[in-house]
Amino acid sequence: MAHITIEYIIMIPVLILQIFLFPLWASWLMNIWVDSRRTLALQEAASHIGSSIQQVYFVLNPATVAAQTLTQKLNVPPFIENYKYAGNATLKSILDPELVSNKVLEITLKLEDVGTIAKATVILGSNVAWRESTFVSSARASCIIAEKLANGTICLSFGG
Amino acid sequence: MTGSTIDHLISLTVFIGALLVFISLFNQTLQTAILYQRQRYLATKCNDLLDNIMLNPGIPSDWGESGNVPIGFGLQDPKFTHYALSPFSLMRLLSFAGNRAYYNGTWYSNVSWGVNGGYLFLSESECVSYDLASKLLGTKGTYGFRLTIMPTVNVTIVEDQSAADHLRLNITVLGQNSPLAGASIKYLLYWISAYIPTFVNFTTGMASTDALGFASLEFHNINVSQNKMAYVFIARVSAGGLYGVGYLARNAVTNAGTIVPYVENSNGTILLVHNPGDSNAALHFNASFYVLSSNFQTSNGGVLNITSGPWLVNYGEGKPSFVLQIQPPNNGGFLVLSYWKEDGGNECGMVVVPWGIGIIGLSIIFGGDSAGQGWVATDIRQVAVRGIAYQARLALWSLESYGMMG
Amino acid sequence: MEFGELWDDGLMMRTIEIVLVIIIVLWAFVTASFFAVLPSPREVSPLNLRRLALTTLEVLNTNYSLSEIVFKPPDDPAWNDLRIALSACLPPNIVYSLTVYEVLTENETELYELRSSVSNAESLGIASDVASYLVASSNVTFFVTPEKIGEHGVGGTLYILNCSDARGWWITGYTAQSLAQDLYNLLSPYFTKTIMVQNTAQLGQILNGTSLEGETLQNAVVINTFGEAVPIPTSYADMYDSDSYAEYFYQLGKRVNQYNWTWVSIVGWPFYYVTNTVKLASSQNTWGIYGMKDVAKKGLTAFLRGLDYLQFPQYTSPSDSQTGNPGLVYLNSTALYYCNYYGIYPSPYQISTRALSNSILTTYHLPNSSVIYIFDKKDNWIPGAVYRHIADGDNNVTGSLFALGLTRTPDIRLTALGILCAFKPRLYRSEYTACNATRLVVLQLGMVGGG
Repeated sequence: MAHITIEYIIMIPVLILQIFLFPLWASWLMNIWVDSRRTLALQEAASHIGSSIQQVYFVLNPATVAAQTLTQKLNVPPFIENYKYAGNATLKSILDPELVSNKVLEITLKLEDVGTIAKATVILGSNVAWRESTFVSSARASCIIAEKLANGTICLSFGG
Repeated sequence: MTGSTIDHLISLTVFIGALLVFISLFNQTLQTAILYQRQRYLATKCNDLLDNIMLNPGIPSDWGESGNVPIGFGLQDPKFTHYALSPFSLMRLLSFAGNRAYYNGTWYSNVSWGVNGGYLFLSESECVSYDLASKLLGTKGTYGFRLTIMPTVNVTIVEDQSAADHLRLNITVLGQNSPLAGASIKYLLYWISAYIPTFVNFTTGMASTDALGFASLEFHNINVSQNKMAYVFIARVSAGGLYGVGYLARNAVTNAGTIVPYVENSNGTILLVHNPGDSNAALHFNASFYVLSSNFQTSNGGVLNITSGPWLVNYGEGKPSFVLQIQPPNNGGFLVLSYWKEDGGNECGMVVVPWGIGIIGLSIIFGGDSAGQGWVATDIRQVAVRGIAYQARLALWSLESYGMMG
Repeated sequence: MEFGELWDDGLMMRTIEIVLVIIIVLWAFVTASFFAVLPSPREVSPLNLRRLALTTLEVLNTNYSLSEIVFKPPDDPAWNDLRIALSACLPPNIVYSLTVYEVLTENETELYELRSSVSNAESLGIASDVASYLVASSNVTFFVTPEKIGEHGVGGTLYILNCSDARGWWITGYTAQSLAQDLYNLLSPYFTKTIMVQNTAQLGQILNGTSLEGETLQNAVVINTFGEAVPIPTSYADMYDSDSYAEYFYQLGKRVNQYNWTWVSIVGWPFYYVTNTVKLASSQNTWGIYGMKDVAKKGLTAFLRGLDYLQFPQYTSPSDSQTGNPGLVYLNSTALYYCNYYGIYPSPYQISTRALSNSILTTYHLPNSSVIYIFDKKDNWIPGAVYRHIADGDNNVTGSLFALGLTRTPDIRLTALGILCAFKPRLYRSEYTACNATRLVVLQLGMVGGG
């Protein structure tokens, strides 16, 4: 009987398949959205950290500013969707001939347990040094520490 | 049996079709939400970028005055704090306001092409390009931006043609959405007569606007008919702590043409070029540079390399322009050029060249073009350029495309 | 079979079921859409109203206009100007409310008291933001405690030559004594001890290494208020009269080196004349001023040689020094910065007709990296700077010369500014707690119009 064929061979497997497919599809779509949201939030945090580092550098850079240490509290959320995130930074030279006097600080943040990564880059002057340090978002006093030395070099690092 | 088959076929087809439709509907909503999040991030980025530009003077901090290529981009005036911009750094931004000017193998950034008699052409080799600024800000390849710095107070000065035998200037002072009523006006007026064109007369005075932001000034000793006299008029207005500035110069086309100044570099080298028009006559000129103080008073800069005028703009073939050298002052100032046909008694004209944005109220448009971009975030700051109120507006867009799925 | 027959026979159940499913899912979608309200574009990409409010207040206070207006009574016409200014500087779709509060003293129960308010809208809506700005009345006096030079280090003594038996040159319009008094008022708060050297004998005493009042002689600052003339003690005039007393300047330079003094010349060509109204009573400076002798151009060279005496160990007749006439000169950007820091405001541009040559830096071990420029160099001339002597192979400063090569008449504000630029004593500013002299200005902005 044809209708039995359609019903039992085609219809039921399709129905059973859609029981699995529908939730799988919904899960996949929501994952995209959640991932995208987390990545954007992490990117925003990385961008804000970069912007803060750049502003602190420019505050200390003028020759009229004496050697001193400055601490800037970071105004970033401690958790992104209940996940804490951590990061570090690396200082590199720039190959572009127009920017050969500059250095670029690449900040990398990673959302723990999830593995989402976001990066931000900041262009700084040549008189900058980076002290190896780790940024932990859930630390009570996460901050940027900038130390201007007598020779004009500005050492940046994460603190907290 | 057949009926059942048709039923199953129809239902299956409709079910799969409906499933696909709903998938795409939900997908559309979620993607819009993701897009909105990206736009919000763009708005935050715009806010941060604007503050980064406005609140740091760049590296070196005096790159605007010194003429050095900056290795850190910022427009803050190194002599002040907060949102006070350097008039010289602004001058060195490659202007997007008008078509570039070209003269004798060199391209010039066009901030003002003789509008109301004010010129500001700066050699492009002295300017900071959009490409370099993007690199220094770290936005190249990821974000495009346009920075617009415009006076908050719009001072329009127009010569009243109905006054036949003397000079009447009508001044209209407007804010962003209302006239500036009862504003104080302080003005500087430099003028020459074609009969004694080498002598620059000066007068200063005060006035105030009415309820519509309008004021009219009469100068009975100046008669500009037939271009026998020319003037440069600069006015500063103030009301309730808000300051604006406007200007008008009578850059008449004389029977020996006009003069066009090109600023070669930040060291104060200015080329004076003869624009002969339809005439072959030689053009004489005189030049004075005035240093402008913060209380809108001028002093003669005395810093030109000409000890006495008048001079010929061009010496003929092989010497098409006159090279003028000024010593750029820390406070900024303006160059007043008067020009006339030789032998005097002919027509004359005057133009003004500001040294520093904000001296006579010019605007700056710097950056890319947002036309065709899907989403542009903007933010505004009120800033001061040597006491004159300006509005800085940053438009930011992403250069990465956001693909829509489904 | 007809479709209707199929329907009547109930053989379209699957289709009916699917239609029901579609209705249910559609209803779910509509319900979800009803609650999942996307924000308006204005909320997604808002103007930063807080920053706009803060920058508006700052711009209105550029010349302290806002500070003046908020202390006026509410019926003063200046408030109308403020309304006009606010309407003029804000975009058309922004409404504002500006409120001024008096900051009360600690003894009051409340911290702020409402004084006045202006607004251009009854309500600012739910999407508004606010910024606040503290202003002080112009009647407020801020108390500043300066760090004393020498308090945490060496030196700390300021000698101001106030010799009653000497005469000045190129200080037209002043006397050395009036300049000395003004300098005392300006600079004494910054030094541990300030001594007025009352006569040439006292000058001779300190040149011989003996303090006048138990002060620290080493690392002192000595300001010569006599312009192009320098007082000469009688004993030094007897001993060092070679080359029309140029040898005295050599000895002076040597003392400046040995005691690590900073010698200050406030105007004109340094070390051009010597003056002692008793010893040189019968001499005149070729311009008819008695009690003064013309040393001329050798004086400056002799001093610099004395300052660099390791290179020039014995006095020999020096060559003429050179000064230049660069004309209009401008305060250096560092000096301009310190004008604001110390609150001393001389004119930023001056006329220099006695600028020193750039060549002295290399000739007399005055390294450029240690020079404090008060005026920008012009061509090869230095209109005003503090020159610090550092001998070969040494890292320490051994004597300094602060020379202002400006044309008469001296502006002692430049002298004070230059000394402060060289030593940079810190200012400790007091708290902002003046009673009835502080007001808090709060500007609230809101947006109107469609999203």
